[in-house]
Amino acid sequence: MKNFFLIQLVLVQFIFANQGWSNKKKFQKATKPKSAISQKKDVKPRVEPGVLPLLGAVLPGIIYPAGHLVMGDFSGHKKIIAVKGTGLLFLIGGALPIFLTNASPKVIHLPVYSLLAGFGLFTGATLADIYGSVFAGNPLGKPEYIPDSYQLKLGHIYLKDYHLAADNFLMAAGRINFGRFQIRSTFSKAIPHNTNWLESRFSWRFWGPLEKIKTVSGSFLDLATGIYYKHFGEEKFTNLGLELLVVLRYDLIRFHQTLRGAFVQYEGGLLYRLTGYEAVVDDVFSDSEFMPLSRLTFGLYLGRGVTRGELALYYDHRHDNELAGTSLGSMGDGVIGHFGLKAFYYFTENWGCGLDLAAGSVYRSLFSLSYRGKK
Amino acid sequence: MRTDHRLLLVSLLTLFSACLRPARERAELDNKVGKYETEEIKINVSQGLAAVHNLEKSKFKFWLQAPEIEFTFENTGSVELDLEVQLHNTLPEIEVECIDENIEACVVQLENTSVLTRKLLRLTLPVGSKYNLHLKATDTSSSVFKIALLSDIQEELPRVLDIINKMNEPEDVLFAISAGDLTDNGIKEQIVKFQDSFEALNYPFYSTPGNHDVGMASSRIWHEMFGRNSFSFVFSDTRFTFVDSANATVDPLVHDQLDKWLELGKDQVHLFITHIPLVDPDGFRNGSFRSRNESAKILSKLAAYKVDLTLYGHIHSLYHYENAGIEAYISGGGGGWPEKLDDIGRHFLLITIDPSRGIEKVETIRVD
Repeated sequence: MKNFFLIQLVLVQFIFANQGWSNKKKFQKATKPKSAISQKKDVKPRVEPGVLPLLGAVLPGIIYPAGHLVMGDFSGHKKIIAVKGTGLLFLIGGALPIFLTNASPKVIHLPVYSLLAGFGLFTGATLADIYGSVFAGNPLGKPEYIPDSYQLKLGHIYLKDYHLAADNFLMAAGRINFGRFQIRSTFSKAIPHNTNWLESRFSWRFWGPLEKIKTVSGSFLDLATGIYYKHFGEEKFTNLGLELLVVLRYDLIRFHQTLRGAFVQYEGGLLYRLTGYEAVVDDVFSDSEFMPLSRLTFGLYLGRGVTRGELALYYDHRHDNELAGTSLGSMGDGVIGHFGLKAFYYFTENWGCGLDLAAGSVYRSLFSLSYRGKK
Repeated sequence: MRTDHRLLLVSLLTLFSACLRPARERAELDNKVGKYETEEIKINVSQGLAAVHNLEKSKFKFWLQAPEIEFTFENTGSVELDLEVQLHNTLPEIEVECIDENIEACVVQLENTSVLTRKLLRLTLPVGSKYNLHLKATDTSSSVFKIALLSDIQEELPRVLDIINKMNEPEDVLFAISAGDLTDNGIKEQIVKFQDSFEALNYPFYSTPGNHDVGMASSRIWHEMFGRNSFSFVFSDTRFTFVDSANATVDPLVHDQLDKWLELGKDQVHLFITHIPLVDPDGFRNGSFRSRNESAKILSKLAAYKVDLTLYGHIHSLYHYENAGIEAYISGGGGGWPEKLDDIGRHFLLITIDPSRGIEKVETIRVD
């Protein structure tokens, strides 16, 4: 059930690959990954990307992304509409059982993943249309085909929050690769409060670039497990979380030529969270719950060669971290997760910086300096 | 142009702030409840536990949010005042006493009306006088008492009469409490309909709002019709604390008030009532607070002050569990869009409280 996003992408490719459209030849050329990368001239837009296509993508975009249509790229338009439609199907498929049973715990689990995957596809299609309408053929960057071996990061987190005492954190993080295996850890310490968070994630790369294996795109598939321990000194409680998730990145050049330089990423899985309270001495952890994990990212690569980075918009459904869910002053407050804009850039081969701005039940900014290297 | 930019900046900041504190306006309005002041008269209800309305010159209406309240009338004008105060949502058996220094001068009359929970209070207020009155339950001989809990009526308000009839069957219930969602979308007509319908109930009904009561409608409607969104009262040495969580969060102003109520209730039996559950037994549906960390912060406090029972609504079913070691019930049995596959249906809870021992019994009464 964690693979809805992957399944639908395969599904979309399957539909196209099986002549679901009348302009079969054009489509086949555009969707075969290697040919799509090498045969750039196949889908040449009739109208140059710019203001008109952008308007077409933005104005009716939520319902009917029309940027590629305005450019005269009918093949791209059909693919985007197909993804939009697939997203809508997943949305309806997820929402219907939830609506009909008023969120009965007996049926809600699979539909939640379907709903989130549907939301990702539905909004992702519009973002892809916008991206293609602006950058078609002139991407801002290329993916990293061989990742670095290790990375060290120092950062500062600021939270605009009315509930937790801590609002400033110092953060130190590290990541190291051993072939397909990767470990990453982050330690965040509130200043001056006794609030400390330690998070670790261990992942295995099934497919995608490795430190010694160059690939044709930045796409990858990881299986990961994570653990975190977060102590909130002033609030007198502690959280322990255990995660299991898949992380799939899909370079959109594999999907359509005009989307060269953009990617989508899905992190989905399951979290088991335990909470302990200082006032409850009988139990170390009194409360526990399972929660769905789902992070949907639409991003683009920045730069080429040594200096490069990424810029990404994301939606994260998790409610257990400091950002948690969003309130818009409506009846459905708290159900949806949080949104963010994340960027990093390496100015030299080794040194870079990052910024992550997010809004949920708090506003958070995270600024970091990174050093990376190869073993 | 510069002014425009400033206006834009202020508007954006307000918008961002509203997202972080969606319940702020309601929390601020709470502090205005129970106060009325003109050149002739000053009225103050202790802890804002009644909404005060001026019907005409010397006629007032109080909507009570507690079984026992204290209030003050002060004649600040130059003529004697003959006051008539309609008391709505009272206990059926109440009495009023002056707790004034010159108690002989304080003459008040309390009259029954055709509605059990509505009384008429008459008093004459001489120039310069100030009367402190205490409205209290007549019969306090038995320390063990029973209350009802009903939440999440919503769109089923037009068909709520059979629930009210069922709630009237037990003879020893003193009052009802609710975790909110009394109406479908909180417009004034629906709240008037609720108040009219519940005049058929033999005892008063105290509630904090749910997301349906204030999510779409103006915060001022609840404020005007019921009074406070978050409040706390003591009855028979048992504290009842109602906290507004209609936006899946508690405003920082209410957090501060909650700290005081917890401190005041540390030696009492204490019931905590809020609409959105602090913990949803199924984390997948996110039927709890927008932030699990805020939930944990509140539960940490409730556990530290040994709260006896947490009562929630929002989820239209019945769940019994523990959070932070405290017994918890989610009871959304008022009829609103029921959860399926749970075999629960419309219901309410009867809670028996022994102030010297704690929560004695919680029974589920099914309506269907």
